[in-house]
Amino acid sequence: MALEVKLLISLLWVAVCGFALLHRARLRQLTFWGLLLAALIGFLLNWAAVALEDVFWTDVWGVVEHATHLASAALLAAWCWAALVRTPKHDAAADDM
Amino acid sequence: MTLLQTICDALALIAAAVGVICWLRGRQRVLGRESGLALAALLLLPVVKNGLEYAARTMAVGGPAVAHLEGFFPLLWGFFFYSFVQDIAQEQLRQTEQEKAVILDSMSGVVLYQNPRMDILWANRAAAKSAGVLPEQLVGKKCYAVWHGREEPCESCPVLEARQSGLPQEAELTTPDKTTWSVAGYPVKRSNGQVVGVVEVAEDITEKKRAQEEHGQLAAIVTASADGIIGISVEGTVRSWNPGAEDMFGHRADQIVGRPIRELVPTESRDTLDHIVARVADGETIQRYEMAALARSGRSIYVSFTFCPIFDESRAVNGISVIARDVTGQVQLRDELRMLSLVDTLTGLNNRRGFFHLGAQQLKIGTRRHEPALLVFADLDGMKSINDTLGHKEGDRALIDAALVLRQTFRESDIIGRIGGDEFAVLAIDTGLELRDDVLARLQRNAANMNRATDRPYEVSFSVGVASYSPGLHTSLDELLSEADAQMYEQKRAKSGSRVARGGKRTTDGPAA
Repeated sequence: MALEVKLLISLLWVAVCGFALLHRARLRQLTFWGLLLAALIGFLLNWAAVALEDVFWTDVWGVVEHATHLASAALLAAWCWAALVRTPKHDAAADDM
Repeated sequence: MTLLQTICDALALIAAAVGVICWLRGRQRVLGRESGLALAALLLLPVVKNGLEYAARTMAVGGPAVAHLEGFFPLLWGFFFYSFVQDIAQEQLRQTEQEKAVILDSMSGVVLYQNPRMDILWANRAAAKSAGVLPEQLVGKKCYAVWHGREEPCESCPVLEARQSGLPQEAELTTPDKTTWSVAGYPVKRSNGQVVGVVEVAEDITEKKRAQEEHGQLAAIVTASADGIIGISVEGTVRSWNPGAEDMFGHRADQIVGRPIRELVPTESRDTLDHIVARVADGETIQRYEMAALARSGRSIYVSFTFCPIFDESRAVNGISVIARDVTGQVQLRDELRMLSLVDTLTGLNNRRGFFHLGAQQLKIGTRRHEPALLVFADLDGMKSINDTLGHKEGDRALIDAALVLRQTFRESDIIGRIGGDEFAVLAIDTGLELRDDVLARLQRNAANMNRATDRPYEVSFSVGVASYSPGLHTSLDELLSEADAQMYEQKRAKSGSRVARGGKRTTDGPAA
């Protein structure tokens, strides 16, 4: 992957993190926000592994990339189950309170 | 690709599938449409990317361009967050609108939101109920047309003035159905100060005004009343105090409010007053209860109190009204009249009614205590002769002297009365028959002393009959008196009828007291 593309994607991630930071008060209202935040961090680590994969320790970062992807997918699936299936909307509102 | 990576991808595929299934089942619950789709893409895109990478490695399809799919991950997260923040904002707005509507609908007063042309844009339920229509039926109408039946705004309309001045305005308006409203207009302004609407809040104050007028009338009556009108708590603490009470007791309101009402009566009456307050606190009304009271100066006054319980909405007594009327003059007049009806004004002794009234009571007490009593019936000798020869003035003087002799002879606790023209009766209390001779001797001695001390053409002497009271034998004072009367006449007959002149003086003959 070209360096310019990596830089561009990194900038996009910074923008996403800045947006999340800016609107953290509202995003916190999302039920089980912690799971979602952990999934986001997983994706960030995944990107870091992808970026570093071409520089050194290719195999190691390759494993890290797939492992973080697995972790992120599991966390997202867990959030979907917890927020969308297990907790009805009224309970979610109660949790927020 | 290592085996480990393949296992990770396979597990990630399963996790993504689970996530998608969950999303399909419950996507309507928390998320809006856009944020829901972004989430689904977040779940699926990594799987697609891994799949494409796997195809590129094994089947030489795709190539390095697949890696560029990484760029979609932050875009999807960003879009997910953005749309979710929008969802939250919309939900908050919706909740705020709902809360506002609930609050305004729950208000008892009329709330309208009007544009600068005074068209109603929103009305609460109270407004609709007041107008007899549904809230949405008020939208687009003018408040002055709906409530006042006018084609133009009312004079001093606070909504119009709020719109023109840009400041909150208040006024009282009366509608054609005689309902009085307290109306307030609050302008809604843009940041540049332009008024874009007016919130009108109106409250029906007809009953409140009527209650205020009635309260004013009652307050005037209480203030002007010559009677003391006092409000006390159920514990007997003074809460309110009118000028009438101030004049009567001498305490100013600020001196007595907060103090117990029992301080208004003498110490010996305080328990009685406490008992009365307790009965009224239980819901009883006590009217015209007369008792002595103390003015601030220490002067004793007689007051007729009327106590009425004050009930709250749950019919529990939460206070007591006390009306106090000064009856000192009436009590004094009554005592005077009672004295006049029971006392012989010439001698100061009890008259016949007074003697029988007090004597009968004393006999009852004596019967209960098993105490003996002696009734002495005394007739002033020669009274007719004194009147005929010396005149009635001298006759009166003889009667006064006779009364004095009797007073000197008997105790203060004995009951002495003039029961006829020249007839006297004495009920000597706790005196047995064995003291009869002592009593008669004392009477004779005192009469003799009186005669010696005065220079009159006659002497004071009595014919006397004595009856001893036996509770089992005598049933009434009349009976006892008849017995003593008979003895007295026996003695009188036993006396010789002749009167021997002594230096121009006349005296009775025979044994006399």
